[in-house]
Amino acid sequence: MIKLSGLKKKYGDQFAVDDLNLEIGPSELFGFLGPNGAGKTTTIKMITGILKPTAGEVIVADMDMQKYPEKAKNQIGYIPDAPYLYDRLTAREHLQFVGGLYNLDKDQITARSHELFGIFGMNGWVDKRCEEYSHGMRQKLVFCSALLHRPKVLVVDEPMVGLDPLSARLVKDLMKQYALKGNTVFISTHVLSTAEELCDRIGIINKGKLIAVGTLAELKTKAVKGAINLETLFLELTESKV
Amino acid sequence: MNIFRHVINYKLINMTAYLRESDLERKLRFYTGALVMTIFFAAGLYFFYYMFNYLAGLQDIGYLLIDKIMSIGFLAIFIMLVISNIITSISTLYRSDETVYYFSTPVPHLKVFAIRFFDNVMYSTWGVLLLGIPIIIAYGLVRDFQWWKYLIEIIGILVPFTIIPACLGVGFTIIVYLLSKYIQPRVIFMGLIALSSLAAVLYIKLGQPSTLAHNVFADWRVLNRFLGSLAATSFPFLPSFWVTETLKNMADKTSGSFGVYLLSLISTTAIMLRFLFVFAGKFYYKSWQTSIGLYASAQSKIIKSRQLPKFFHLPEWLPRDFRGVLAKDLKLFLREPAQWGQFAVLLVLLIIYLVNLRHFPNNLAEKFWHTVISFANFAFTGFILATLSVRFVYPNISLEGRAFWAIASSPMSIKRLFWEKFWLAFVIFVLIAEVLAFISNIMLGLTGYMMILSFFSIMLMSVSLTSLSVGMGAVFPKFEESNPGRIASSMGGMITTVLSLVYVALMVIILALPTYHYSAYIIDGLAEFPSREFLIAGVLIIVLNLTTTIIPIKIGLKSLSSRDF
Repeated sequence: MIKLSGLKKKYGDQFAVDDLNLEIGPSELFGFLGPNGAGKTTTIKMITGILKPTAGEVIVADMDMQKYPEKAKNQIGYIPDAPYLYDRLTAREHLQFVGGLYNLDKDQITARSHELFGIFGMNGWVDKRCEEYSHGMRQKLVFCSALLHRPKVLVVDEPMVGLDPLSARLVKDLMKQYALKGNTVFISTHVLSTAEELCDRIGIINKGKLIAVGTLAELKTKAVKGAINLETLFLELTESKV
Repeated sequence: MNIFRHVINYKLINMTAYLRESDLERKLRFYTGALVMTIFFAAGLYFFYYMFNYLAGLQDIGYLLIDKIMSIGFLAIFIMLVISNIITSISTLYRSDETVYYFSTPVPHLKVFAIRFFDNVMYSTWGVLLLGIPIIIAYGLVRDFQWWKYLIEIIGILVPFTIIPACLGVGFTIIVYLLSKYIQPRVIFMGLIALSSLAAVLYIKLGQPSTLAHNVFADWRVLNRFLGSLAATSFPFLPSFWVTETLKNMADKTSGSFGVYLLSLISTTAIMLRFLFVFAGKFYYKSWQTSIGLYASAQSKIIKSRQLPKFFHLPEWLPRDFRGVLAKDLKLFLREPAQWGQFAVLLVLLIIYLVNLRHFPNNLAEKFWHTVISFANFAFTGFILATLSVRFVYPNISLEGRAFWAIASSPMSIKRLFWEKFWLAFVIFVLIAEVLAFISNIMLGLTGYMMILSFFSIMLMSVSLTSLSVGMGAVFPKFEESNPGRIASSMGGMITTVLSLVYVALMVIILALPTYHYSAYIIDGLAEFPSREFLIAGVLIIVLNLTTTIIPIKIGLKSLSSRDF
């Protein structure tokens, strides 16, 4: 569902992402880990078509992002770490707005919004303006807008930021179920326990290069010092010292 | 579905949310703002109508003078619009989370450009429209326009007139970002500022507009001849020229000629738009990518000099927290091109103004004219100070933005932060203002009483205008906005502009009466020294300045202290 081949992004003299090759299939929940400044967000921005790679290609749902950006983006639901919302629109208006950008008709948007507001427990808030929302509530709304057009690929940058334990559980279950329906979920996170709990496979990026990829069990076999969990494994592979 | 129309529709819903507001305080704030705008519009209309009507009454040269004023005024507005569009487009088309969001959706790149271009035009021009519409309506009233001519004025003239500079400004910014791979944008902007300053100085030197002033006092007929000769020097390829010619020919009922100029304006707008969109279709997304790269490499660059330049070393006797915030504000100002760029442009314009004053005739026979000129200079200085304070001081509280938590959670009180903003602005302001007033007074050959009066008045003005901007900036903060230009052109900013201009006008009016009598006392030895007028003016000045200083500070402090962060 997502195929990255020889992906590179250069800023000035430095490679933010350097020769990244990765293939993620349908029904897969993929965790993307890395220290700060490793190239996670740059990779995500290339997958979502915001940034153009310096070299290499991004294929999403069999669509080349460079050649058919509009069609490819139609298959993606993106949840950034710092999402943009129009503060004076209500949640209902916001979804109507986003639905229009994805060319959905009004009835489709209304039905799907109703469904999503129910899932995320937002029914009491839909006619209040976004500026009145807590961080968690805003995050829920962003999830609703990313899922509105039923994308085949869900890309999430730091999914748990600002969510209370109940909402966090809800989001985790939702992502699992979404992947089980044949879709792909790509999450970038610093919360290793989330990755450990949810992801079918994990990729670790450091200094722009993908240094490890596989299931948790496969990754553990790569650890020289016999890592017992994802945290020790991550620290060993990225050569981070406490 | 038309994506552009869809987005604009939701932007309008977002913008007009205040109309559906249920919160009484917000509702009140919105309607107060709308009322101030309406008063500003009405006062502008009255002022220009009064001025044009007065000038129209001057035999032979009245209409000529009006047309000349319109021509110079529209040229100035045109230049301001180009600059304003360049500066706004940096944040609207490039450094904006909203733009990033659109690029993540299936909206085609060219439509993203169209949406952001529309935003840019709105942000850069709405203030100008608020001033421009009263001017052209007043012109129409004086020249007895029929109703359909007003429609032409607004739709056929004003709209194209704002779009042409937008195309030029935005086109220029795209080119700058395209070239930024090879040349630093800072260098390009500095080069542009230097070139435009040079062009302006050369224009002043070669065009000799100072002769106008001399001839006014010497002989009205000479002025007539002078204006006639100036008409030949007007550049016929500038949109400001087409605007004034369209208006003039509409007024003179020479329909053929007005049609030619109107068509020039409309067709140029259409061609410019077409050209810009073809250009943007090819290069906007590319230049946006380059800007992201530029920003990313700037982030990774180590700022070698972590200290401020020596010039800005802050004295040790200042309290540490105060010094910390002060140093932070100065560093952020110097590292934000939108800030120092516009500041540099305004300073260059001031220098040009001062250089130009050199041409004013010092040998005027009548002392009366000395007084008039010095008053015009005083009013101009006030106007400049009001502009500077709204543009650079008003946004300061808002610019704390999302980082406000750092101060709100520190032992530094909000009150102290407020005063830091005040003192930083005041010290810079009073220095610029006094230097400007001193040099201009010397250029105009003014000494003695006028010099002292000017010194104290400017000092008072600096205090009041700074208080107004800091105070109102705290009442109407826009913490979610990072672009100072957009904060200044928000509704709160416009209200502050109106209040500041009204304050300057009141200062000029209050001081005018005793000064008029004083010049009579100087000229005519028999007249008495106007001590009574001075006393009344003194009391009024004290009342006015206490009001404009204390009230904004009090309500600003109260508003900021009661806010949750």
